[in-house]
Amino acid sequence: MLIDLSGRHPLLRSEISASLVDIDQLVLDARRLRFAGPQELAAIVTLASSASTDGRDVVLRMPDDEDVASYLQRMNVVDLLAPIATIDGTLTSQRRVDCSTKLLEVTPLSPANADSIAESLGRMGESQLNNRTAMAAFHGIAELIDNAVTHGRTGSGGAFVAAQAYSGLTSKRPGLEFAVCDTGIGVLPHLRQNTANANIADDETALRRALVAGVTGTQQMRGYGLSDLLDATRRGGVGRLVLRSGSAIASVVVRQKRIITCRNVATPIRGAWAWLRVRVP
Amino acid sequence: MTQVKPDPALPTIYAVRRHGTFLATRALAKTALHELEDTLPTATADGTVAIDFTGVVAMSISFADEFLGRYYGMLSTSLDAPPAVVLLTGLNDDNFESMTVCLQRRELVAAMANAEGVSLVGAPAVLNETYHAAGDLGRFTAARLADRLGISAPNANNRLKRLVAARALIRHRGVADRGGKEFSYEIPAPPAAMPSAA
Repeated sequence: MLIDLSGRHPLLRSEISASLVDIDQLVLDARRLRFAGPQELAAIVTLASSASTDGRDVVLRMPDDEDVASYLQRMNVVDLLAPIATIDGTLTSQRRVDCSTKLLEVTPLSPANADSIAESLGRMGESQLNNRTAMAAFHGIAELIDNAVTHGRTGSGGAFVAAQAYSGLTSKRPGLEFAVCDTGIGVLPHLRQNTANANIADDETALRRALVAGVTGTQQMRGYGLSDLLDATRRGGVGRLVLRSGSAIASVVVRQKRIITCRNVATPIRGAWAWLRVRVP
Repeated sequence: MTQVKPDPALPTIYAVRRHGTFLATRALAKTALHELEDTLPTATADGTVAIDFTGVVAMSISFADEFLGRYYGMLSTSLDAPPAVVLLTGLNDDNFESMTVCLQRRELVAAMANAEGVSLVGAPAVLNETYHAAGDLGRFTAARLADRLGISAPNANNRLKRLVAARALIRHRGVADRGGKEFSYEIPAPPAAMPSAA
């Protein structure tokens, strides 16, 4: 499998550019990557981890762009892949400073560290955003983290998170981006665990239903997490949520109202990926 | 002949802040709930428990639901089990909102205390109206509340039952003039040492 990571935010596009070259190998080709964010970083590590667990060889071709390559290094992608992958490209020596108020490097997520990560991200929002937007960001992040450790932890490849706060110097809108990728059960199989959802036929329908308040794969009065996330985002800012699971992707733009787009995609993923951006309105 | 009489000056305080300032997961909420339950035996049957959120900046609705949604759900199944009074203290605006959503989904209510006194969280208008009337009446019977609100005695009793189940109202058992048991009610006083919100 060759995944072409080119351009800006390639993993926020509906279709992942993938081709089958060698079934025993995963090549993550980032040579033409021009701009990456938490979604790309967390997903690269998750894809590599999952493939390695399956016994496949993993190759990461580093970006030609020095800034992007440096960012991947700074965000722990290279450190996390080094034990399980061949890193193809030039690495630079870096002197790290603590930027914990602005970024969260790619970090393995587990039930043991989920709340400390949420705490760090809550503080990051507090330090970078106004109070309302910071609270909105925390509520969204908290629900996504809870989903991942509750439903996504069964995946042998684990789960990974990353985050980045933006000052808004270029966009005029300070914001926070967060991504969590897991290799767990996935949205459709999870929802089907509840007999009330047995008729959900495909991943696209599952994603659409998962956004509805009260739809849950459990037998309890739950299933409000994503709906609460969107409500909190609308109260405190503007935002966008992108969910990918199985062979489908959903994008929700949150402003005065929600604009939901769901579609089937050609390249399926294992587990679920979620990316959330909350910005000051 | 009072059955329960909490001392508002000496509440058992459960500080939620010990779990962090940003509270996210259901797993952490389960830990907090178990700890709270372990704390309760130290509270006497007639005591007040203050669940104090001072220092907690935010909690997810999932955390609130797994922690206090479940707790208040358990309380509502047994009117006479201790503690007699449970007060939420130190709630900031964000945590108040999370608690409100969580309780309304479960059709539960809770009492919160702040510098202004004791009020309800998550309550529909009809219960808030009842609580305000209860505050005006001091110690009262269901019949007196029914008169005050212009509602039937069974209706008043139903409302009082929900408030007692939420540990938002103190219920005293007494003997009626004509014999037989008679309950009287009063709103708990806020703890003497009131924590402040985050």
